[in-house]
Order: sequence, then structure tokens, then C-alpha cells
Amino acid sequence: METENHPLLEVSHLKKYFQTKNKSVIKAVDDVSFTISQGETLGLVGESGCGKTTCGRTCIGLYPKTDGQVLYRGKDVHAIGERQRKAFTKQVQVIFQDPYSSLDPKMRVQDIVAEGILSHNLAPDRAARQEMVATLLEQVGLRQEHATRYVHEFSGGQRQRIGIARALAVDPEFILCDEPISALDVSIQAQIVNLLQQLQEQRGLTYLFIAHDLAMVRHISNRVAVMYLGRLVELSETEELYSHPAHPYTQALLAAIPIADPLAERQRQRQILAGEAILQARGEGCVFAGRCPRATQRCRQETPSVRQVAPHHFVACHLYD
Amino acid sequence: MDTLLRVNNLSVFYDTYAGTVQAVRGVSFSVGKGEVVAIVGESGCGKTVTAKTVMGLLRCPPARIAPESQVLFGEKNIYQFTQEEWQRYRGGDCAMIFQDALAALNPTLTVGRQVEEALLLHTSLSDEERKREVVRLLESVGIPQPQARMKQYPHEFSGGQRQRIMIAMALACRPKLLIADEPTTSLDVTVQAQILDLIQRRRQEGETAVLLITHDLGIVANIADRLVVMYGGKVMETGSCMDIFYRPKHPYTWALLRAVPRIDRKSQEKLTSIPGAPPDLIHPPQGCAFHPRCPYCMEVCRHRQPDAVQVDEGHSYSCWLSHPLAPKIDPPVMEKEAVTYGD
Repeated sequence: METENHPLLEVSHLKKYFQTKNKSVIKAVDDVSFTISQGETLGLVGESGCGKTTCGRTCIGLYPKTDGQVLYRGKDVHAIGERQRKAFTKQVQVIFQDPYSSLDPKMRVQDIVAEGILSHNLAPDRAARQEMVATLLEQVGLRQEHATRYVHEFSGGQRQRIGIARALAVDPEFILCDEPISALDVSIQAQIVNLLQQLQEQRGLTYLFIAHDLAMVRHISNRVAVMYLGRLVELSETEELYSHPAHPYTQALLAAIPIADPLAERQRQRQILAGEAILQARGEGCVFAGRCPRATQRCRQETPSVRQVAPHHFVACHLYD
Repeated sequence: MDTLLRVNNLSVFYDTYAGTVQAVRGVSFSVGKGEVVAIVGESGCGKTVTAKTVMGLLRCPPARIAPESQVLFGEKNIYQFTQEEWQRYRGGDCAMIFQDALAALNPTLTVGRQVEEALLLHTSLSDEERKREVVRLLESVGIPQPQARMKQYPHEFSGGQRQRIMIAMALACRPKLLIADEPTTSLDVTVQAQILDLIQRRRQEGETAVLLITHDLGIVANIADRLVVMYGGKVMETGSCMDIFYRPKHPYTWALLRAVPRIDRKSQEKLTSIPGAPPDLIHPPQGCAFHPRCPYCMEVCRHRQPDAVQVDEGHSYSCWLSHPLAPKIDPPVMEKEAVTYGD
């Protein structure tokens, strides 16, 4: 979709289809292309079931792809051999949505965090490993004495910090943040987002930040990609996207989010989108045509291609021909 | 405005193996006729327990309601209701929408049958009239082809539609009070907007008062007349929507308002987070519940619970900063200019 000088991750025409029991095909990710440069945060937003998690996981090779290509530093992610895979996992890490199910309840915190260090041989001996774990825990805002405890002794926010420490343990350069804050309380969300931003500055990390909370994504991202039913409908620099949303879906999505300010809220023009996003087998045409207030005959017949409407602002919609 | 519901000094405990959880500790608030009151707070602050108490849905034991607690509906304490009065109250005068519609609906009955149930119990309509009323109700909440769809089961509907069906059930007998416990939390934002619009319209049409339980200040800004901010089982601040958003007095309210980034604003450098975690209600902190996380905490806050102080009509808060001897703090409120707009 875009040509950067040195993209870290290059996704082109990625497709991920799932076959259901009754032989129909679910197009979870359909012809998605984007790039992420080093040190950047790309926000990937969309409603539940739009394929954003599947897209993220396919991008780092957790799921096999159906078609298309994902290049990480110029190497095909889906063609990595067993030996290189280990080197790849040292560079790329994941923070999961659910801090309850993504941490092993039978392991102590120090063993969870040290697992990556151990498997990549990053510490010469046990003492050095413990030292590294202690430093990591401190960096994510936990205390050294937490190292010997089990996960059930921690709150949701603290668990998410453990998950972050585990991801950082191998000193990666790219982290897939898969809805890292949506299971947390408002006051704790801000803590975790601040921590992620601080770590990015310190370590020059690159994030693919998946979320459905558009306000938080605006806060953390340099660029934002909007997905709807498996397709990327809009991609732009953050401020441009939020101030001039081009795709009717992005416009409706932004209008639907309530603002915690009664007077501003009363002055807003709100157009409420009818219907719901339902993923099912479908033919040609724009994925959003069924709910789009401006859909024409052409939208139902022809899949819109991606076009540029402003510098670094891409949209897949027939309105911009 | 006439008071419809008044909760006085409500305390609810849960006896568990680990100890007694003090889920709600001395909560008081009221709901006027036709008014929308929102209880806002983070998970574990006691907001859902409060709602369930009002509806009479707490299972006792393990829950235990303190004897001095009063929930007055009209003039009568609901805990002195007779069996018949309970039946008239639940589903008739007072109805509830739950967060998880799939869990709240019966999967083995058609939705038409479930909507009809309240009418069967609370009205004396004939079979024919009742069927017509069910169709009308489903239509009014935006279910397409209600004639055909009332014969379907909950799993055949989408998440947003199931929430609509629950609203139709709740509104079937034109309740005086509708309790909505996180009605949109599990829904997508575009669907959330539809549901909120629906509740808003129903409330404008009828005399239905709404007690809305939520953690999302955004929802509240659009729909609520008054807010009750809860933390650690206690009411921290209560006031009109304008009071809470533009003239907040309690440090917890300040923190809550500043912790959410706004969709219509360019982001500032850093979000204002609240350090620490919500309190453990088996061993709630002595003194003010918020003191371990409060940046303005004083010595007295650690030992003594502050009393509620009235700022002006309907706006009160519980904080030692209200004391004349306390240091004066410039509240970090949002736009100052908004204050001049008035209500």
C-alpha cells in the first residue's frame, strides 16, 4: 500500500481463509497490504470478528497463510526454516489480550520471564539469569520479590506487566500487541499504555498494536489501519485519519464512539449505522456495501481497489474515483 | 422532581472462605421519576451488586444485606414487600437489562414466548392482544419481520438483536424503573450507538426512569442526568452530569476523567494513569477507600472516613480536601471555558 525506505515488516496481498465444517469459506483476512517501519507503531482497528487478530497472527507466522506474502527484514516469514525460526522468535514477540489464559498458572513469575532467556542462551549462568529477570520486572513496574510468586497472586494489570516482561526478555525489536489493554480497567489501561510507550522510547521497539478502542489507538499509534470483515478499508497517518476519515465505515465508526464530555457530545452530528457486521461467504463487491449509507449499484458488484486520497492516506472505496 | 427510588445507607457483605467481602459500604442515592441516573466505577467497585440489590436479585446467603439498609421504592421499603408486592415489582414496576444477553435469555424458548411472559404475568390481555403486543414490542426495538422472528430462538439472533430483545422484554409492562447493567459492554461500538439511541428514545417517550450501570464515561455523557461515582464499595461523588464533568471535586473523579483519551482530541504526551490497583474489599483500606492511590493523600485520610459534603443542590462528595484546614488544590479539570456555558 505504501513505499517506505526501510520497512521492517512488509505485508502484501495477505489472505487467510478458514474452511468451516459445512464447506463454506470464511475469508478472515482478504487481500491485506501494509508496511511497518522500524520504531513505528501501526494501530490496527476494527470491530470484533473483523479479522484483526488473525491478521496480526498470520503476519508473524503463527498461522499459515492462504496467499500473499509477509516479509520481515526482506525475509519471507512463512518460509523460515526450523533453525532460522528460533532467531526470528528472538526478534518478534507477542503480548496477548487475556493476561489470565496466556500465562502458565503452574510456573513462577521468574520461570515465565526467564523461559525466553534460557531457550536463547542469553545468560551465562543462573545468577545472571535471575539478575536479568529482576531488571526486567523493575522495568515493567513490578518488584523483585514478585519473581518467586505464582500468577494467580496478581491482578489483571500486574499480569499484563508480567506478559510484557516475558516479551521483552529476549530483547526483541518487533512486538505484536494483540489487544493488550481491552481486558483491563480504565485506570489500569492508562498505566499499561504509558509503559508500552516508555519502553518503545527506551528500546526503539516497533509495535503492531491491535485494538478496538479507537481513542487509545489514536493516542499510541503513528499510523492507523482500519479493517472491516477481513479487508483493510483505510490506512493513514493517525491525525489525518482522525481529522479527515475518508471511508464511510471509518466515519461511522468514529461517530459512534461516545465522548466523555456532555457539551461536545450534544453538539455532535451522529449518524447511526444500521445492522451489524456478519462474516459470511460472499461474492464480489465492497464488504461494507450492505451497511453503507452511500452504497451504489457499483459497490455491490465490484470490489473497490485501494487508492490514495491524500499523501500517505489510502482508502478502498468507490467514492474516491 | 418526585423521587421514585431512594437507596439509604445500603451495605452488602459476602461471606466467603477467605473472609467477608464488603462489596457495598453505606451507599445512598436516589432516582427521580423519568430520570436517568448512572452509577460509574471500575470493576469490583460494587456497582452491579447495588443494582442487583435494588432489583431484589441477590442470593442471600452468600450475600448479606446490613439490617440498617433501606431501598425505598415509592414509599415502601422493598425488603418489607410481601410475596404479591414482589411479583408486581419485579418485571412490572421495575425491570432489568443484563450485560450478557445470551446468558440472560432462555435458549430453549422462542423469543416471542420470552417477551410474552411478562405480559402474561402482569397484564390481563387476551391471547390475541398479547400476541399483537409482542409483535409491536419487537418492532419498536427494531427487530425486522417481528411476526416471523418471534418464533425463533435466541441463538438465531445476533448479539445486538439479542440485546434488543432483552430491552423489549424489560419494557413490556412499561416499568417505572429500568435497570441497565452494562447494557452495551459486550457490543461493538456501532451497535452500542444503536442500543443507546434506543434506550434514549424510549426514555423520552415514556415516564421510564433508568438506572444505568457502566464503567464508560463516554456513554454517560450523552445519556445521564445525574451520576454516582463509586469506588471501593462507596460513593465518592454524586452530582448532575455537568457537575461531574465540568466541576468535579473528588480526586478519584479527576483521575477517572483524565485517564480516558478522547477520540476528538490530538493525543497529549502521556496519559494520566492512576497508580496502584483497586482495593481488596476483604480488607478495605482504613479511612478513605481511595487514599492508597490518591496523589493528595493526607494523614487524616489514612485513618478517618470523610463525610459527604454538599457543594450545591444535588452535588456532594466525600473527601477530606473539603475540610477548611486542608490545602487548596487547583482541580485538574477539563475545559474551563465549558463551565461558562451553564447547564
